[in-house]
Amino acid sequence: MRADRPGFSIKRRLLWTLLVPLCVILFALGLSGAWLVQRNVENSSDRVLSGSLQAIGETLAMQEGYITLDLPPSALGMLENVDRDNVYYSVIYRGKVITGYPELTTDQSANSLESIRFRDGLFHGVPIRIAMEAKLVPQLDSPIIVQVAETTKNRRAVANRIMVTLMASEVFLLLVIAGLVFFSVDWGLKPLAALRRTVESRIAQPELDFAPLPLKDVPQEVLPFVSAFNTLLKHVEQTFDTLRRFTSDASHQLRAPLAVVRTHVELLERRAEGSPEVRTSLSDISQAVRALQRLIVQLISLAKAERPSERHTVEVFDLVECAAAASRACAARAFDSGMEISFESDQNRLMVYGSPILAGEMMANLLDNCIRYGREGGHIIIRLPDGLGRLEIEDDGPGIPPGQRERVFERFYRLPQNSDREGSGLGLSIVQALGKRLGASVSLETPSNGVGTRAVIQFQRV
Amino acid sequence: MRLLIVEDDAALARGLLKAFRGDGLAVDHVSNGQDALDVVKMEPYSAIILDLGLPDLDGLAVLKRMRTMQVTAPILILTARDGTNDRVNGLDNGADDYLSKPFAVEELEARVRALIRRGQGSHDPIVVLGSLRLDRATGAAYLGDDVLELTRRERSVLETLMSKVGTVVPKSRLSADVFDYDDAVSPNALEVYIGRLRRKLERSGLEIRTVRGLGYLLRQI
Repeated sequence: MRADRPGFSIKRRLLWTLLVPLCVILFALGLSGAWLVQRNVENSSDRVLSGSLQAIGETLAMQEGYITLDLPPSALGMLENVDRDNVYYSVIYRGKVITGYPELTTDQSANSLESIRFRDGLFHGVPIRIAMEAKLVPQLDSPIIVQVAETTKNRRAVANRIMVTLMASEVFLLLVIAGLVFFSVDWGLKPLAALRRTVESRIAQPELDFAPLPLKDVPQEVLPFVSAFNTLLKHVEQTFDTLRRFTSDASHQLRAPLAVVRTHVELLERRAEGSPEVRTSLSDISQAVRALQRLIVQLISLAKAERPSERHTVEVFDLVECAAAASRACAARAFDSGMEISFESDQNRLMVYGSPILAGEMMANLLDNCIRYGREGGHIIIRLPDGLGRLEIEDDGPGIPPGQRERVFERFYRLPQNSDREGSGLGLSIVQALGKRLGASVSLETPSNGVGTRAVIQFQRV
Repeated sequence: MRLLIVEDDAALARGLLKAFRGDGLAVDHVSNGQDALDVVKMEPYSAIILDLGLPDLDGLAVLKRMRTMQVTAPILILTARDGTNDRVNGLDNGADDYLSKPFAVEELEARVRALIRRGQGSHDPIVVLGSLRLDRATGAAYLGDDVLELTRRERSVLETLMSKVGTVVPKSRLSADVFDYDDAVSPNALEVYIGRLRRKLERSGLEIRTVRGLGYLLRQI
């Protein structure tokens, strides 16, 4: 059976609902951050540029009819930086370059006095930032225009550095949140994992446990679910109880009339009267009654094996003694069917966990199968091959085809080759159910010589 | 010899009455617990067959009451339940044997006969299996009309096997019966006696089978 496709995991849901809006927010933050960074870097760089410009402008003077300019090294030095931006300047009077780089064009249109203006420009194709001041010098009718410019490498680099740091922080934040989601979901679901373990340990138990799940430590969000589950458990237990009583009652109800039929049929057979047809009928009836009896007995023991009404507490018992008793009990029947039976054990005692009564019932069913379906004149071997709690029951009959080894454990399934033999088809189902209750595993294999069937029960050693 | 059958199922009771009367027993039948308790006070029964599923009283309670009333007759309980608990409970409460429904009439008859014998405290010294007869009192053995010559130890082995017909008797049990502590027993000493017995039982319709690893079993062929 294929499991239904599970829904989105809680982690995935949380990640989607958390990370998508978070990404949008971080993107917006990034955009506004970029704008702020750009503006701040521009402002502070412009301030340095204007400082440099003012330092040059301060030295402008008229001396003996000449315009003099003292270019202090500090004025341009303050523009020095790690990115080695180029610095340009020019001093212009009446549209004529007095000193500096003539390529540094002026913006004549905006020519206001005593205020520093900034603009972007190009110098030999390289983007530059230009600061310009129109300065009035005494004795001159027209203002002198001083310009200082620098390439924009440094300011771009500073802005980039800040942007990269911002981006890295955002990515880091995203990763931390994703990690926190994983961690917190795991942590938050821990009580659920504990519940799961409780339920799983019950599945592993041979006897069904309908006790309600503990509500202690269950998170409030899950409480209604667990409570509902407990209610369901209670319902199942009640249904189970009803079924249990039904099986017990049905056993009684079926056995009593069967005892009547059997008694009277046997009495009639004993009187040796009637025509041959009557005698054949009687023999058929008697055979059918015995088959019916066996079916009922097997059904009841299967029902009992699958339910925990009679609590056989797990005890320690001697597997050798138990197997020997089961073998002794079936020896006469094996001989009646013309078979040999032998018992092989290296040990005199082998203590295992389980219940000797249930283990004996398992062996009796397996031995019954050997006698029923084995070869006439065949050999049944009960073997305890090592000290590991392994019991083998082996015949040299027709064997079970490997493809059928799972199916023979199904209720009422019988091999096609055995359809003409009497049998209920429940023996191996009973063996398996009993094994589950004892914590013993049952498997079928082919003996090493390739003939027959070997049933293996692995008990838990003490 | 008088037998009491306590069984509420009239049809089954009729069958049982027919079977046991056919065996030559005097049989009384009651169909509920109270009648059973009344009737056991009056009549000294040789054996009682008690169905546990009675309409008025719980079968186990009837059993207990009978024992407190000092009824000493052996009691075989019949039940439609085969739970081991029921069996143990029944035997604990004073039952001598137990049979679950449905059963083979022959088996019930055999068990009742055994109970009656035990109740009378008389062990029939003659054991019979097919054509073989063994007189445990005198030690004489016969195959049909012929005397079967047996040594002391052969007889010992045969007697033990005959007392457990159809079941496997462990080797250790046979050895314990046959050999004294003083005997220096070789591992295959027992096999020697089994071998001799087998030869003597040839063509008797009986055989001693070996269950390797477990012991020996005497059966009719």
